[in-house]
Amino acid sequence: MSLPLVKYVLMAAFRDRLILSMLVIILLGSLLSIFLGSAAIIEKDQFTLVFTAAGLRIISVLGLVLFVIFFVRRSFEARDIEFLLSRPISRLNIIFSYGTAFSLLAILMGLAVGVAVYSVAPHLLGAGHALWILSIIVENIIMVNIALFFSMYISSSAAASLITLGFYVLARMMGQLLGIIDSDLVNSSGIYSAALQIVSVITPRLDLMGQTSWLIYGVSGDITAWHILAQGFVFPALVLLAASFDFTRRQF
Amino acid sequence: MRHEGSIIQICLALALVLNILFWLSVRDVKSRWSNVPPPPNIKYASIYGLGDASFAYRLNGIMMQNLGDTGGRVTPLKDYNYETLGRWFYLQDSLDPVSNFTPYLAAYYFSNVQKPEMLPPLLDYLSDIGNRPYGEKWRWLAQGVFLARYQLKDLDRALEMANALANTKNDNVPVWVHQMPAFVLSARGEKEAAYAILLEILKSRGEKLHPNEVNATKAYICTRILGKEDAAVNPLCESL
Repeated sequence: MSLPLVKYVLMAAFRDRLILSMLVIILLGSLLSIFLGSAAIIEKDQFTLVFTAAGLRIISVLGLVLFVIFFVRRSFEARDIEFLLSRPISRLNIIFSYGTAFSLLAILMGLAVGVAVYSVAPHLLGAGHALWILSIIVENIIMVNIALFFSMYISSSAAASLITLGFYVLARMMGQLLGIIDSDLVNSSGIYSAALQIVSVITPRLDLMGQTSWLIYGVSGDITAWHILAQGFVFPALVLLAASFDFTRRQF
Repeated sequence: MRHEGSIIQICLALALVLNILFWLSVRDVKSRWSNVPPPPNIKYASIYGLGDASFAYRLNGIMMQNLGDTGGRVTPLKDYNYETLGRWFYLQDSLDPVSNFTPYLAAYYFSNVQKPEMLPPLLDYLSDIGNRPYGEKWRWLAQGVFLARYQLKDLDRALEMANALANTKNDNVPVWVHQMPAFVLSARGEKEAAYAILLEILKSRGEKLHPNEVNATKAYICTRILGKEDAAVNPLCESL
């Protein structure tokens, strides 16, 4: 991993006003959630908390994914990548430096969202907040690395963005989809069920992350920090290595 | 070049006229409310919150609160489909069984329907929620008893719910929760049964009750259950 390259990506994020614009959006999202929550006849604070958490979760992923994809595609189009390759730095180093820098941004964004979620209803702070913020940070890390992977493979920024966000929705609903094929409602040995099983192997279970019920009732059920941290390790490792696999063989 | 500019100006004016004509034709057209929409299957309901059940619950909650009353439109509750509404209540219960938002909506908002005969799906829901042992869910049974007795005027249903309320597993309930069947029985004219229940409560719990509660119970027995002649000879009524 190259520290100057990590710094370069972080500087690009500041220069592109990613941080500033995300903070403004987080503020506006929180205010909108307060407005929507205050419309509820009871449990106003719980409504505000859930709307803030669920809304900012999506917004932070959206902002990070768009930044990563457009940054990487611009690096290719402006021949930044070719310039980097002419320097004494390995291809693997480039991928992992990019991955590290994007992951740092993901952590920063997760913490900013955590502060916003705490701020809208500080009296509801509980143990569930810690796990929720941890899971949002891990989800952001997974998504920026997936975005990096798709932006390395797909030359169109728009297509890479749509595919990454489609993958995000799929990952958020994977628990429900697996529940459907495990139920008696469909033929669990059919071709579609088999295809979904295979897809689920390489899809993160983001439905296990960031449950807003943790913020209100605390953590319950089988989900632990171990499940979250394990996902945060295996999926970024998979996609970074997959991106490296292609990048190390590519001719420029 | 000048000729092209004139054509663009004419086309722009034409497009503006078309926009005005379109606006005139749709100005008073509004989307029609097609009553309470069918709820999604309970198994897939959290998909609406992208896999987050609590988010789906809150989104549905705000939707239900404003159902039929959006875009400057106000719909009387009697025009709602209460059977479908009842299914929404149960869907919400599957997404978040702890929150009191949906029971509150059912008990204090949707219960004000102009046609009380539409209440049974709502009472079924309150009855199921009220039997939950956690929190203070028994309060929804108490509200159900009130609705069945005074709105629906179905004393059989009220008694059924009052019995369930009296058998609540929660130890920290006020004494009137256990007295509720007696109140409904008294309204049904079954004075002897009501008397027996209240007397039993006084015997078994009298020492633990606050004196005010004991006096209130005695007063109810002597003024609402017993007739004047019976009260005059009943030793329970002597101290009043």
